[in-house]
Amino acid sequence: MATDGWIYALAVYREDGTAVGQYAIDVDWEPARQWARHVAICEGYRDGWHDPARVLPIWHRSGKPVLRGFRVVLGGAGRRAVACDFTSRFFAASARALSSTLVDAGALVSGEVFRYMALAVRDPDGRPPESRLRLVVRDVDEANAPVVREAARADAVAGASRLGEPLAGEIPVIAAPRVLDEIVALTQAAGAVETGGALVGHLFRDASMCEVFVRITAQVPARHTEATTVRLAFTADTWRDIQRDTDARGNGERLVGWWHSHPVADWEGDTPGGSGDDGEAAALRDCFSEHDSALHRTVFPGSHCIALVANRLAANVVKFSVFGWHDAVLRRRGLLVGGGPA
Amino acid sequence: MKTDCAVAIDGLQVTDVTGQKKKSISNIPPDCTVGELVQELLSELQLPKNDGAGRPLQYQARLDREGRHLNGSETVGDALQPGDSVVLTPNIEAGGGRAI
Repeated sequence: MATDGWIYALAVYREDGTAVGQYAIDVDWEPARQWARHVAICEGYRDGWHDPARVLPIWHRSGKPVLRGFRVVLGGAGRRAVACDFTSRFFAASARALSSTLVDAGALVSGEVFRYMALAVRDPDGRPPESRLRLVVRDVDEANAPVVREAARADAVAGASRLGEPLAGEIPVIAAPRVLDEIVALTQAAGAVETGGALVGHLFRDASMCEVFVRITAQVPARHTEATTVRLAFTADTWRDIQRDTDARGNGERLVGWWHSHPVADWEGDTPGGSGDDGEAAALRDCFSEHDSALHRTVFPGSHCIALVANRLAANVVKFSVFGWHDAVLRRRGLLVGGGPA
Repeated sequence: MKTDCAVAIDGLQVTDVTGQKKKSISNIPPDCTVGELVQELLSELQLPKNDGAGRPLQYQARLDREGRHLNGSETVGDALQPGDSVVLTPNIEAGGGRAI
């Protein structure tokens, strides 16, 4: 994303207010660009999906170089522009990554609480980095324009039951009940090891409400994974088969998320990476780890994509947790189950 | 089929694993390796090079024409033909690690 000659940085402080330093960060803007696309889809934006997105600083009231947030602008080159603002909360992921580096360098102690402030300063060079191989790159039209069907949201959510606490303003995601039933069965069958798969479905727009929603129509089990009690690796062969299986369904479905299980019943007394304390296991069973977050960001950066965690608490007890994007940040969210035909 | 080493590869179609990001790539030096090409393509498809803790993520390029994952040490001139399609697929892990 074009940063218009700004370099983004974090000023890091210890809890007592003493400065640790200022560090330039390589910001992963993609979730913000995707959220701006989501806003554009809601507003019925038609063209300009190939125009490079721009990011602009929004200054804190204390003035430059301190950021209150930033703005992502889509389009605008002779076309309608769509702008979307984000708070500095977006930089939490960058701060987490930076903290690991600072711990390794001895500037912070592992587990130490720190504060940070987001900054933007002018790049004295100001030129975007050139492709080392000098590739010539062109967007391919049909893939980059979002595939969105038109439907009434009210019809789609009618009679649906809720799973989990909804997040205010979340993108409605409605799952067919059999999808959850299949995940429960696969989770139980996997026993003491993790298992998972992809969630496929369609993205809809309700033009009368300027809103989008997602309908999950099926889950596609992941094969060729490498699974243990606490980890699940999705290999290149896994993604190949998921893509093939989804195409073979012939319904024009897209990947709209993924799921994986936590065999919590097998963690009790043998907590992964921990002391065997039941309290720690309780915390882990409902968590979305940094590995989970990295997988979601890598494969499912779309704002409408969700991650479902199936927590197997006992042989016949599976409870779900749901996570997804909100304002380009991964948060716990809710899910609708059932509903009417969309 | 081995392509003439002096000729750059044009019209390579590259997609992410979801098929929702697709680019056409031209002017690919035939003597660069698939591994070097993949690193450049990650930026073009806005795919992360590292996970949340800064560890490098591993990707493979799957060549549709042959239905196989290319080896990172193969040269583009040996492995690819103009108009080929490849999919970038990550080897990526869920579970474990710190909660976010």
